[in-house]
Amino acid sequence: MEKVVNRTLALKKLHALLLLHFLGFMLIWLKCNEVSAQSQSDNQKILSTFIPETGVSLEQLSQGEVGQGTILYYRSDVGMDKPSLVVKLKKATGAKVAVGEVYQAVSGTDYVEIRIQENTIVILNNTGPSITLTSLDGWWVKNNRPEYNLNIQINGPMYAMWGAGYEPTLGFTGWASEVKIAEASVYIEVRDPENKGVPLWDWRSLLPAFPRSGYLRTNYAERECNTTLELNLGITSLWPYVAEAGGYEQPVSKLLPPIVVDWNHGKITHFSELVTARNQNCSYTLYSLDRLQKEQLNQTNFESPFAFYDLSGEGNGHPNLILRTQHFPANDPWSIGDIDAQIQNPYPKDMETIRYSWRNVIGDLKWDFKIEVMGFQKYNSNTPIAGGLIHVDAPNYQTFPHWVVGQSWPLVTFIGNESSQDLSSEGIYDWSPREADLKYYFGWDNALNQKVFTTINQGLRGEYRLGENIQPFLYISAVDRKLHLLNAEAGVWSIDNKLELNYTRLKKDGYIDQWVYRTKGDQNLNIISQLNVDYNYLIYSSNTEIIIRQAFVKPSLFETLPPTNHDEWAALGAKLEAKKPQFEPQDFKAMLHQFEGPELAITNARLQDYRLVEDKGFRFVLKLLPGYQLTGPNLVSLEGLAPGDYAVEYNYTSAIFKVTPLTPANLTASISSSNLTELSKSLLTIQIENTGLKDASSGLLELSATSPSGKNSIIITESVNILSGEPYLTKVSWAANEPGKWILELSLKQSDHKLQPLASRTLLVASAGQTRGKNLLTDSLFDGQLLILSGGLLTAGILAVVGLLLYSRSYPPGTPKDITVEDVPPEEKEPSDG
Amino acid sequence: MVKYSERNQKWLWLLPLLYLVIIALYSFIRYGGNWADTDSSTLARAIRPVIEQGKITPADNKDIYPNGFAYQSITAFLVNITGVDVATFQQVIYLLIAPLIVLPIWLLFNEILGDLRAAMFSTMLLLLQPEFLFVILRGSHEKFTRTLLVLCLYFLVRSLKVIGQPRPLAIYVLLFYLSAFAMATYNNFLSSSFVLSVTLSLGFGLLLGLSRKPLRQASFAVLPRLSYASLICVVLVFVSLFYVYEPAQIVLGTLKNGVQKVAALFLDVQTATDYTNAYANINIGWISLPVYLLLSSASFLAILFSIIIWFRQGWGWLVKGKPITNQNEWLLWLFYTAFATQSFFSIGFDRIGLIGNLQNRILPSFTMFAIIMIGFQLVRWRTRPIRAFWRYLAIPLVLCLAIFAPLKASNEPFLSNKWVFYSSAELAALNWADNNLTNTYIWSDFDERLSTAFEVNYNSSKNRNTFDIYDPKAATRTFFISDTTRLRSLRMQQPLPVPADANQLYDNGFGQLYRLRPLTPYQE
Repeated sequence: MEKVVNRTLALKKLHALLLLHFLGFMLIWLKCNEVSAQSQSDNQKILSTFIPETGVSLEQLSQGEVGQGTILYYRSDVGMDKPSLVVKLKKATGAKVAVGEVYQAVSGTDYVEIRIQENTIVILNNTGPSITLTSLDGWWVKNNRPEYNLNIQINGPMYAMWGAGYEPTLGFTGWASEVKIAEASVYIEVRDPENKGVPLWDWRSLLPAFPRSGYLRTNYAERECNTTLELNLGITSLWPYVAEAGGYEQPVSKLLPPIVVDWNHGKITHFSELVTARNQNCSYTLYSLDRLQKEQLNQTNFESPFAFYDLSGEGNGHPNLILRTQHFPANDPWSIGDIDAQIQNPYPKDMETIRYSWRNVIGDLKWDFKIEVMGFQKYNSNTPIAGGLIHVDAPNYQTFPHWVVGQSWPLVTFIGNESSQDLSSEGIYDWSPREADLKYYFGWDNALNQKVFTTINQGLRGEYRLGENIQPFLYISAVDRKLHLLNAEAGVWSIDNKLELNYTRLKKDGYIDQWVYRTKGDQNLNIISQLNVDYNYLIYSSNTEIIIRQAFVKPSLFETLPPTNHDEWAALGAKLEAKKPQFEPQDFKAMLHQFEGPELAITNARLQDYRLVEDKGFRFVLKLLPGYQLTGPNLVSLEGLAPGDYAVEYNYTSAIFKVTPLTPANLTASISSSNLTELSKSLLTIQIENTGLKDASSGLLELSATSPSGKNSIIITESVNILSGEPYLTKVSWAANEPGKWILELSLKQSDHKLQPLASRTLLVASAGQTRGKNLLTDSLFDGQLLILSGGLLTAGILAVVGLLLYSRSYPPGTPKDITVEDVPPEEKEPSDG
Repeated sequence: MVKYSERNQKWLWLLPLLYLVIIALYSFIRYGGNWADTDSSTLARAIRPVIEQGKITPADNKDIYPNGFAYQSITAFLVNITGVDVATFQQVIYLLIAPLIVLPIWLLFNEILGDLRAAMFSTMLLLLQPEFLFVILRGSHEKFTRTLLVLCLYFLVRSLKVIGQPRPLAIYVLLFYLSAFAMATYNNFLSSSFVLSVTLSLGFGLLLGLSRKPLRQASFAVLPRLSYASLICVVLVFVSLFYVYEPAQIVLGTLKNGVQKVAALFLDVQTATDYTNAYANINIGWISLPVYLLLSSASFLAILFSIIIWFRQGWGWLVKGKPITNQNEWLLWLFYTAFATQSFFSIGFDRIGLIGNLQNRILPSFTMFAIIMIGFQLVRWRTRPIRAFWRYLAIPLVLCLAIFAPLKASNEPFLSNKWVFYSSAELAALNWADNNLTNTYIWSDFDERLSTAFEVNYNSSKNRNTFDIYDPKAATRTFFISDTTRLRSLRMQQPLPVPADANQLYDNGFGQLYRLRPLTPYQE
């Protein structure tokens, strides 16, 4: 019986231990996945009361008299003995400054624990003030204007800079979630030099190092023009820094007190921006990932600057020109943003993209145009900010628009908003140059990937320029009367969810000269109509007719840079209004008919493969269908031609069209190389010529190799267009991995998926030699100690064998007597139940 | 206890010690100290800031080693008192002191097997395991963590023997927890994996003890001790992980999901460092599959035999109802089962891709328990005559395994494609490149051979250069090619990544630096 009891006790003990284990593991698990859940009920009425501690009233303290006292902020349903927030105000005798210390509830409580002790409010169980405001003028309110010459220290988690966040249910996010209670987190300097009650600038620094996180360590915002503001003095106008409610951003046309509190939990959630970046007419802001230092020239990165302008001069709280920069100095480790494009490398040179969005009317969060430039300009300014306390390398507010449009940029995108109603406080986001092939621009790729910027959001018209390093000039096209990017290579206008316009610049003169109206989808199969404009001809084509009009076309009506000031802005707006098109964007016939001249119309005919012939002219394939008809003067000699396909080529020198029956593509190819050695890279040269008149378009070129041992491999596959009369040349870097006779075969897979062999070549690859043991020994052995090493290995082996022999040789003859086990009772002692 | 009269037997431990001394000397002489691998370089980079800042958690340092701090701290201490540089410690001194691990292994094996000769030969068999040799020879914390793991087991076994004697029990229990905590300070994840093995042993013991009467008494004799050990070790690991060395949480923070976190904590899988590729294809890692199988035969044989022995023992206890006659054997059988379970899950998770970039490192621990299982069989074999045939068959086998183990553990370049040696000329060329180039990606080899050599000797780049390895990054336009790299290219049948028209920047007779020609306006 005793044994049963003992066993039961032992089992209970084990169960208890197992439970403790479970709890231990649960603790680890919870620690790994810390999730805090909070809830917040509706706001209550918030009241405040002042407890004087030196006989001085709040009004007197507010106006700068010496003394101290405490303001208790509390919910009406809870009462002042459990305040949600406590502010201790103090101005010492002889001190120039006044100090306000703001206390919130500590973790685990919903209110600040206080005790009244001899007219003094004592704060219990607290880790110190969460916010300390220092009034440099020594007062808080004068003439109903709040003091905004403040130095502010934030301690602990609080949404007081960008990069943090606060969700009532989740708590703090971003950097604020990583800040410990009472840890110095943000330091703020705010200045109102003329004591207007409206701060001029607001400079915030994130204090913890966060060495691995790309948090914004500097937020700077400076007011650059007047915006009508309504001052809100919060819960008590005598200390106007505690808001009833709010967020981080200031609303348009209002200035709310900065301290925002979750009154139900007694927690400060935000210290709002005091100079708003976006919700005013003009501001100059810097959002840098590095902390700025006083009395030195600071290198800035990321959004430096982010500048907001009111070119109308009549703004009502919103800018109508925004320049948003993303700049990084060369090799800035923080510049690793796009892992795929950058392959985890920082930008190898100074690099920036600048989004330049403007509105043709007074700012209203809608945007008409954008250019976005990418380039490698160094910042070499010395711009004083914060009243001259700090100097930064970024261009200053006044010159920044000129700085952007006055420079050459290797990559520019342009957006015209045709019908999008999207609102944004940061401009137009679409088609950032960072979506392009940055590897090429960083020198990490030998060829530019042109297949970018092919689709765009509905209602927007986009164009891009990838290949030339020039200023971002714009022009109004004489053909479609829209504002375009000069030298844009191509573009697209998403008219609705089914239809779009494609733009292409074929000539080198800088102007769009091909318009294609099509249904979205496959590039070639869905063309509804097309307009091509050459110097002296406009050619319209659709599925049923072709119109060739001879007319001189001056491509541009007006050329300009994006507006940088009110006058330029007004002039561009007036021009756009004056030149506004009177036809639908896809009405190519109307565009063509703007220009006077003789016209040949061909019905029952189709046009294909329009392209330039180097610099000599242009050509296309004309498909004359049975029953085709010609109307108008004989601009192209087509009379009497039988229905069928013809190559039509116009030559600038002779100024005549040459019409030739189309012959199929006829490809001849060759593969050549220098001497080849095993495992060494060599260049293979592939040349293909098309002696037929039809272009071999959209083919897939494949170069394969068969090794001497019979293994097949593909060296390259690439999409090619082998144009009639234009040799195609490409070079391929290749290394054979074994010596001997290799067979290289070149073939072309065309759109009909048929594989057409083009060329075959046998190449002799020389041997690179063998892995000679002697070399490896020489390289890897320390002073050639081969003998010692062999001896060492043998000795080790012999020792192991000796171990084996010692183990096995002298086993105790016969019995296991000499092995005893002390701890386990012998078999016969095995207990039985009961 | 064992009662042998032969006086000489007490010196048997010298044999495995001598064997390991020879292996350590062989490994040193083989490359003259000019060798490096990922863990050695990672820890060398972690040690230097500890020395410079005098803190176990250096501020703002990307080279901080998040899994533990003791190795860096002790090395920093030794570097300071001896004046020997970090590279020499990592490449030479730690290699030469590795044989000391024989002493605790001997203690443990002798304690649990109760037979000096079987303990000696089991120790020898453990040293024939290339996976075990590899981890204790290189410049990483593992020679300490494995030692502490062995000590933990030793103190655990000893404490079970002295239950009922408060004073010695208290001493062994205290030493056990000290060892466990020390292990956690070297490597949190290895120690948490050990804790799980204790817990699993407890669980299996409880389950089997409750379900099989003959096992009950032996189980219940060890389970309370295992319970306390497990519970207190959980607390120790928890404290170490979350309060003593906060960087350990970084690793957990970077793991994407709960499965990875559990795997990291309990299955002895660890975050892969930059270049490690432990699961590189065998055919790439070794010159051929037969060579790999031959070199690894000691591990395969140990695992195979241990499974057979484990199964046989288990069958006898669980199915045939045989009583447990040796408490140590039962305890170690439970531990073997626990580590086998962890190995099964960690390898399984890895194979199905659930643990991302974590790497399985449990094999050396499992190998140790496999050898213990074999050790018990060796003891049993000593109770009856061993036929001469088997003895003669074993001699060449042991001879071969004893030679194969150091060849595999040192990545012998004649057999391995993973070369770890470098020449002074290569190091000089890389140092020249680092002194004369800035912000440049420099391709240095087909793998981390030279980048780790540079890091062990010079820490990180002085001029923000990066040594690129494997396939060159798109950003890489500078290449270092040495005679050894050329040999490697032939061995691997991988073409050298430099075209014939590249510009040559540097040549020291053994290695050259090349720069690609610019092909676009954006290339320099």
